Amino acid sequence: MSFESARPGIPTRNPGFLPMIIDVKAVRARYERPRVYYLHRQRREAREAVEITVRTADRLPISSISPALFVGEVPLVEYEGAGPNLYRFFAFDFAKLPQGDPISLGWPYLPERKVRTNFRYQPRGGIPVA
Amino acid sequence: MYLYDRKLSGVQSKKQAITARPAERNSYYPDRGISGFGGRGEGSGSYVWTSEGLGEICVSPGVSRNDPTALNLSPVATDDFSAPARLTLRGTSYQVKGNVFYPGQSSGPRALFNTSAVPGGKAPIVFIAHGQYHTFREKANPKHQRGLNPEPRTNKFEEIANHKGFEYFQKLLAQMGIVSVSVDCNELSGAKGLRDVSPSNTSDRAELVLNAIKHFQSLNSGRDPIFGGHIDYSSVGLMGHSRGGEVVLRVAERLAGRRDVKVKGVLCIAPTEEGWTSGKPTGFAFMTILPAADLTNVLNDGAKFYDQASADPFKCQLYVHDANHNFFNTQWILDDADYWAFDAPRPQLIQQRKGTKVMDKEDQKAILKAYGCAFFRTVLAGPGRRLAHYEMRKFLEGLEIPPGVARFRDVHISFERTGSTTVDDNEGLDIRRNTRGQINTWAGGLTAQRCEFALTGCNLAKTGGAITINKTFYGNTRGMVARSSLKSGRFKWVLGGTMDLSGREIRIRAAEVFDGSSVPVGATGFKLGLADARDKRGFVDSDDVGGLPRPYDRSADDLTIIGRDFTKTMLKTLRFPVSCIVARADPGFDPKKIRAIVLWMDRNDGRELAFDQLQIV
Repeated sequence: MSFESARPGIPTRNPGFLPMIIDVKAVRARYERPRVYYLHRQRREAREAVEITVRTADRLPISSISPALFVGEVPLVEYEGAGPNLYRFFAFDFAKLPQGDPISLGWPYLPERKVRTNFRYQPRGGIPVA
Repeated sequence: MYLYDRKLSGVQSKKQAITARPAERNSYYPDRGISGFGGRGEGSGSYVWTSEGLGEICVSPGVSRNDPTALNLSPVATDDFSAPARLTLRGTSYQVKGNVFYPGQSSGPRALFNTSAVPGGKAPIVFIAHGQYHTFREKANPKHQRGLNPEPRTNKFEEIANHKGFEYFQKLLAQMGIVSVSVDCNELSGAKGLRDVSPSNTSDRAELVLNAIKHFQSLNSGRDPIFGGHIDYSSVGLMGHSRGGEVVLRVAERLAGRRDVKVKGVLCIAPTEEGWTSGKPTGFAFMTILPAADLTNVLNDGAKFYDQASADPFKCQLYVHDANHNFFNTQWILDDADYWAFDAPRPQLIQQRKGTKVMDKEDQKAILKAYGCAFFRTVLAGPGRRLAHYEMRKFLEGLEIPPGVARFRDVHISFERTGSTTVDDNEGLDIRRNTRGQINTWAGGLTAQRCEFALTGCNLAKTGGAITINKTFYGNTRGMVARSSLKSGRFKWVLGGTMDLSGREIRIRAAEVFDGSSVPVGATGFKLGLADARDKRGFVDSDDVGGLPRPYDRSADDLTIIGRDFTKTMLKTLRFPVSCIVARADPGFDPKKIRAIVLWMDRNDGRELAFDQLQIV
């Protein structure tokens, strides 16, 4: 999936101009100081998570609603910038992530139109990696 | 346009319709100061001649002589603020800062507080949170905006002062004696740093606003030369736009129960709803402004807040056709459609809207100014304050139209307040029972069902006939969808015993249901009426009280830019004065002995209509 249209003058149908993913790395991280996040308004702390770092062809749009990284159909909405076109998504409830499912970028309100990639989420050696 | 007999079918046979009498044009609401009928009011109403004379009116609201923006009690002073202590959130430090506008002894920066403009020298205060947006723009090409400064070593880009986007509104508040503080959330906007864009930053922004509140409390309680002793924290308002809308709702919930800060009202403009609040605004007046042509928050999430909000003391929703997401904030100069393309950044992909013509920036500002002032003047009025020398709630209730926005035909108001008698809120699963525990019946080719009015669609089991269930709605409530295959289709809500409804209004939220494919040509409607103890009846047509709202067709833009059509059904509150029904009723009709409210679907066009919140007011 690309930003550019197939033919000149024909706009892309990529919703919200989400960039293509060009690389994915996942590591299981443990935190000395608990990492704070929120789930359904509840403040939570995590000692470990799977961090999925995504390099994109362009930056993510800045919008009132945040894009999400989908592992299969599970959206990960907690993320931070990690560098130019580099984003680190956090999966705190990583035990529930479906192994082997495709990784996609999308909007929470448009899950059916997420931008699919050839990257898949697969654990190796007991540590989930993509 | 004064008096006319449009749509008096069924009336002329019983009452004599009259022609225009200019001298009497304002005689109906002498206390309301209505100056005439134009804009939304024009062409949608009728008068009838009764035995008491020209005394009944069935009309969409008229344009008021009173302008909610016009109260001018003081020069406007301003200042920038920066709290001495930084706020640390999840390991990152932020500066609590922003701007403040207030009634001053003179205009300009840091003037002394104008104590004579507010009773007791204390003014109510409003805190404002802007939304998530870019934080830098190219000086030579302001439409080129970025979340980070791409060339920090040059002077090519400048910071976007997102918090200054509501100064036009803050100035109005200040001149009417209300302090307003707009919190600079740029350190949590754009793409500057960690935790900048993910939804957790809604929570962080709320902490920033809470600390701004705390900062001004310290100024008020201390010896600050401007604000010391001049802020009334028992009258606090909150306003937020986009992500800021959800932020201020979270702030209000965090402040619930506090004795030192009393939130009286929250105004959310195109708010997000990402789960950072209970979703049920409670304990204060609530208002939301929803731009129908919003291509950023396409789900119009504020409708969910409205549906779930407490009506104590009141709640109000404006659904504004042709308004976009961005133009309420003057710093957000890109239409939503352009925004995506610039953001990419692929300027060559700038999308021209194909199906909607977005209203001018000044028009959107006018809507916020008029209704926003009416809202805060209502909720922040206090003893001795001149904010509500005229009952501002009338504008929010749809009883009158502010003169500055009368030109907009499609500002659709939903309104509900405490003290109303709910006949049917459709929350029960059995459509044969209404909220009063009485029976509902239907006949004459009408079919009806209750279902969820939500994005997920109308998905409860149907009752009484074949109604498709793949319709979706903005909002989050349960309502009734009805259709009639004949002109005689009727639905009756039995009240239980008889009720005296003299001088009352019947209100019902209603809309034409979007069928999921296209918006048909031409409007539709219905009649609503009353049946008395002897089953004598009177009806008023929805066209005579402002008309049934149509789905706002956004398919062309949505399909081009987003890839899916988000056209959905959105209800508004229609008001049926009982006096108007009486004027059109059978001879001998007695409004003091009403047994039932009756819906008459007489159009025979096969369209489905949505209904909810049938109330007696």
